[in-house]
Amino acid sequence: MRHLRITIGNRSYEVTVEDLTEQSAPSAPSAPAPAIPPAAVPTRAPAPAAATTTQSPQAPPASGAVTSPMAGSILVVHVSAGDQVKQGQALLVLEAMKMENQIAAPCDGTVSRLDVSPGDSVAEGHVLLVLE
Amino acid sequence: MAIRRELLEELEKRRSELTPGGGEARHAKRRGKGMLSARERLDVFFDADTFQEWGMHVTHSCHDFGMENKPMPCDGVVTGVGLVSGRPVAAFSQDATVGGGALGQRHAQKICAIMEYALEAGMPFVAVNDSGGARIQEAVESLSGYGQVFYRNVLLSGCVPQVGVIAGNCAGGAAYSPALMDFLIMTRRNANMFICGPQVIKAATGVDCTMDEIGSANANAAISGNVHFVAEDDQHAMQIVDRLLSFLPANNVQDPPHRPTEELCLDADESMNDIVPANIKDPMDMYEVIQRIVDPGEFLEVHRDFARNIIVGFGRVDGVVVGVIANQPSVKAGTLDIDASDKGARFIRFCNAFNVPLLTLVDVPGFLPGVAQEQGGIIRHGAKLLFAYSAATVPKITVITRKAYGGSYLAMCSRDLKADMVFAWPTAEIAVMGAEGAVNVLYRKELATAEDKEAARSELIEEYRERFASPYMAASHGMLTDVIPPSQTRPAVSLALRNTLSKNETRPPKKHGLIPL
Repeated sequence: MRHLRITIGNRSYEVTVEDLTEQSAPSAPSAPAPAIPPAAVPTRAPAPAAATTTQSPQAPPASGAVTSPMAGSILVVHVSAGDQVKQGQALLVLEAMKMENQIAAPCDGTVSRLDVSPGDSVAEGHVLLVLE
Repeated sequence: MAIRRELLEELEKRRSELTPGGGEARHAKRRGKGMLSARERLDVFFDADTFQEWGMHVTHSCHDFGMENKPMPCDGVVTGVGLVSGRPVAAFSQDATVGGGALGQRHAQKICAIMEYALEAGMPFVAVNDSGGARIQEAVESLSGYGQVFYRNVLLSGCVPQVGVIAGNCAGGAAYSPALMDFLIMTRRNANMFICGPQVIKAATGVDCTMDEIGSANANAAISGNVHFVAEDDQHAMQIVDRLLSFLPANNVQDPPHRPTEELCLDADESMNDIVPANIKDPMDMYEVIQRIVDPGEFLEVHRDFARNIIVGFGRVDGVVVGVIANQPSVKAGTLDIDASDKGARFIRFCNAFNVPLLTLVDVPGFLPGVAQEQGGIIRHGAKLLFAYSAATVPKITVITRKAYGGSYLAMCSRDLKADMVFAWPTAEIAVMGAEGAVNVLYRKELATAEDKEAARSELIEEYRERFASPYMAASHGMLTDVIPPSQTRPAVSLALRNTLSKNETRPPKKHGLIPL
């Protein structure tokens, strides 16, 4: 639970923000914590900073991630984790918009993670696999 | 009797002091980065010895901040007129070795003079940008200079082609003159274009970003779509301008430089039949189709890196210049999204303004579904495509290769938007929606009560597809000029172009239509 003051123009509003997710993202307050008694937020990690490393799996890795260009369903997966692939090689087939769209490797690399299997529905931007 | 020698000597002396711009040391530094000087950029662009410089001796009029003692050769910009492949072109090239190429009042005045001349004489205008921005010492006078250039960009717009080259810095307000032009070429390594740089963004929003992310050639060409061509270096940039101009008329009352061949090449191209995949769901590479329709080597793609689900560019077919707009099914299934609609509409409007016939190659499954698309305004963006095609009075020829569904079919220059000729391949699927979706709606009750739902469904889908997802339903309603085998595409397009070149369509006069911007 956090109490915030928002000023818009000359008017200020006091608001209370309650985080309903189980593991709240560390708020990393730079200065002394507000003088509010800490709410019953389960704090598993001793150091709040450490919690930042447990990212949600949806967050795209910095590089090497092959993402879905649009929403659709996976029809065929041509590769498995550990496979070496060449740039332009067909990795999988995404059925979307009446088409069977080939998803090709953007570069040479090794499939370090494969997150989808045939039949999966994926949204635009979904990480399909990661090349290293 | 002869002119006094010292007069000639003085002229020579003045010229030799002005042409080196900001001096050898600054030029050497830039040369080290692989950059050409302002004058060299014009030298590689214009035919040898044809450039007539305007206002070499112009000086600034600033008396503040010690500027009165600071010479600014040519006031930091070289302007003039010359021949490019034998055709007159007006141009300026900013000299970053002189006060950083910053724009002052006289600098702007020189640019405005050459722009006004380009308009009066009806010749293309080329702007080589390399400038630190406004000359701060000249305060609001330099700011006003930008305004005057912007205004003239708009006066020229649609009358003469305007091509900008971003060959150095182009930041803040300075970026809006290029933004008002028709085509922008940016060099890959030494150029930046942005409104607010990383430091300003950080200060205002707290977000860290790099120049590469916001202002590089790649960011401008592939992400924001501000830039149409990326050049490897300065010389390459000027070559692209030359190539681009080779497809464009000098002004809007002239025809583009058609070079009609005496004989039409009307032979069937059997290889065209081979590039159509047997499976209707396999994407086709539309580049292969374009390459087989245009004359060998005569295709210049515009906006290649942006919204790759649609392809636009200039080509020639048996010598006749065309603007090609084509869905690219191998990217995002060839769907129309916000960026593709903007890209297509802008190109169509340019072609229409400069009398370039339109060749539209259709393989479109629909508008791209998605929350981001709806919230981003796909309705008003997609409407630009409908607007641009409907407003275009140049010859409009459409070839429907495969998918042509619903609103996206209409938007790709259908007969209803007054395409002059519409050809369809036997593989064309012209329908209001996909068979799967249509069956779900049309046979909801039957499917709900069917014993084997899946079997009934696939049977109905197949039935629908055969009857409706073909060119013959549309053809029977008179919506097509003809159904042709792919092998006949080039001859059909070539003949259609020859037959429509004399088209002259007039509309009721008005100030301008209201394209949903």
